[in-house]
Amino acid sequence: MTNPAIETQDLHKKYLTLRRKEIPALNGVSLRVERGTIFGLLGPNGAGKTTLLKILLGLCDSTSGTARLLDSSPGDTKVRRRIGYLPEQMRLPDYIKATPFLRYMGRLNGVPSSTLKKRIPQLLEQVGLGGVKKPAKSYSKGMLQRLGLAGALLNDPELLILDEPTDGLDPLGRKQVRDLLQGLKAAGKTIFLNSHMLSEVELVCDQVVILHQGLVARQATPEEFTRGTGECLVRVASVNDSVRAAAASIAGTSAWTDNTLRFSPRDRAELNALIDKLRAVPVEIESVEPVKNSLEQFFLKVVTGEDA
Amino acid sequence: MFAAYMHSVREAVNRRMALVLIGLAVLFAVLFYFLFTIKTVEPKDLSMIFLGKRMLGPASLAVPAALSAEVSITGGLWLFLSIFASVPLLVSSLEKGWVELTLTKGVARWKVLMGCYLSGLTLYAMTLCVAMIPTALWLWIKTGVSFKALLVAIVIESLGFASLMSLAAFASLTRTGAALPIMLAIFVDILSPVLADREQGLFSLITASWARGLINWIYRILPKPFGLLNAATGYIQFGSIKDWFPFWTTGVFIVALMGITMWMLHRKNL
Repeated sequence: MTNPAIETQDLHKKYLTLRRKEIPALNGVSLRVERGTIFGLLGPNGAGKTTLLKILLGLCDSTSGTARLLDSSPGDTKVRRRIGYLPEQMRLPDYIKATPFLRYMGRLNGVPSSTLKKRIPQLLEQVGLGGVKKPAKSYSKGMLQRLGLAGALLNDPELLILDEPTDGLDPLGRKQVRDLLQGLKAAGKTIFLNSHMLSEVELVCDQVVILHQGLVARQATPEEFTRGTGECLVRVASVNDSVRAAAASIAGTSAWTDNTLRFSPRDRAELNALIDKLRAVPVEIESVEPVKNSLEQFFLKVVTGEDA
Repeated sequence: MFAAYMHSVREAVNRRMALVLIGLAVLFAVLFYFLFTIKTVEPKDLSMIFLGKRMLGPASLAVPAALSAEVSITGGLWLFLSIFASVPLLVSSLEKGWVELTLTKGVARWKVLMGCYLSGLTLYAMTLCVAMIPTALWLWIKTGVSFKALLVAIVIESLGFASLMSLAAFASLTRTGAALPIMLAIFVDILSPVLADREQGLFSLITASWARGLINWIYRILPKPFGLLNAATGYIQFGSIKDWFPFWTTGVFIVALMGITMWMLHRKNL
């Protein structure tokens, strides 16, 4: 079994105010990100996501606990050369243009000039900024995001840490980013994704962690989060008393919303029995759908405490 | 560090600070050129230097005096202007939204800050050279009096500027903008002559021995750009340095403060 790309154990972080008051940001975060996967980090504002990212990137120290990235400590400059990072908020100097910016980022990461000469135009093309010559001050939020993404990919990183990568992008741009992430995953890269776009996370991630009040509240695959509830929705063409009575004979107290019955069958046979009863009324059945949690619903349950 | 250095130099040019300083330097060079005239007088084919209509004397004596005057005029002003031009380079290197891009790369934090610090020093020394060397070169060609001493003087003045930049680098760790680092550097620059002449000035107002002792210690600890400027002009005129105290104390100050700054930056939660 290979070592994980990221591993944290009982990570704590407390910030001190000027009056020496402790404000906890992380209260013992333990997580493991396997290599070659896309890992989603979710959490409400103030959950500790940014602090966790900062610790992983070596921008701040943890109060206690350990963090390992690619078998090394986050502060190690050598390991940082194998990581690509896209921050949520980038503030570029007004005058700077895409190519000099990327060249500087590459040089800081020790990428040879000859490699940068070839790689920068390729990446700019890949993120849709090929041929853009204007300075960063005239970039839209989406363009800045694309430039940041190119910067994160410049050193061909083994591990990519992306903070809100689709923020400010239009639907087409978001699709391009999703495709890019899938391509990188196929190439064996590990991607650590922090996003508020739950639908994006649901679509691309292999594992998702929900961070809440500085703790890992849940960790699972998106499929596990959105697994069926056991309920199903039976939609019929029209509802009258005989339809209600037929449904009640199987489903007990029937919960109707307009033409749709929400029903929790004990097994498949009970569902089929309900359908038979309804067909016998007679009434036309338009659809039968299993009820699934969306990641958003699950997320809301976790952060509001309903899931407890 | 070289990448950060080159980026910072480009930033200075793009923010037009460097261009303004170079423009002013060229203006000074032209001004000095027109200030001094050289006339050959009989009977000994002697080159005499004139400042306007006033004769300064024979070249061997007047050229060092002229260069020394040039250093005096330019030195203090250039420190002041360069603080405004160079300190923003340090501050911008630690701005939120930018450090997340640079300090997460495979480079030590101190190298990024040191690159910006050195680019500020380069800007100062280079523009000082542009302002002073053309006149010195012209005088050398016309009179044969070397301007090596001027180059040494520029190095000495750069040491004074380096000390003010190290103060600004330290203050820029607060990440509260350029105002505090600039004010601190200018304050110490202004305080320097006051402390150097404390016996004639401050001590006539302050008589308490403990206060005088405190002022003496402040003088010892703080950098001495004024003392270095005097040493630079003295070196051009006399070819020697009388007092090494401003040199080694300023050197120790720079090394100690930059060391503390780098260590604090390394430890800082960003």
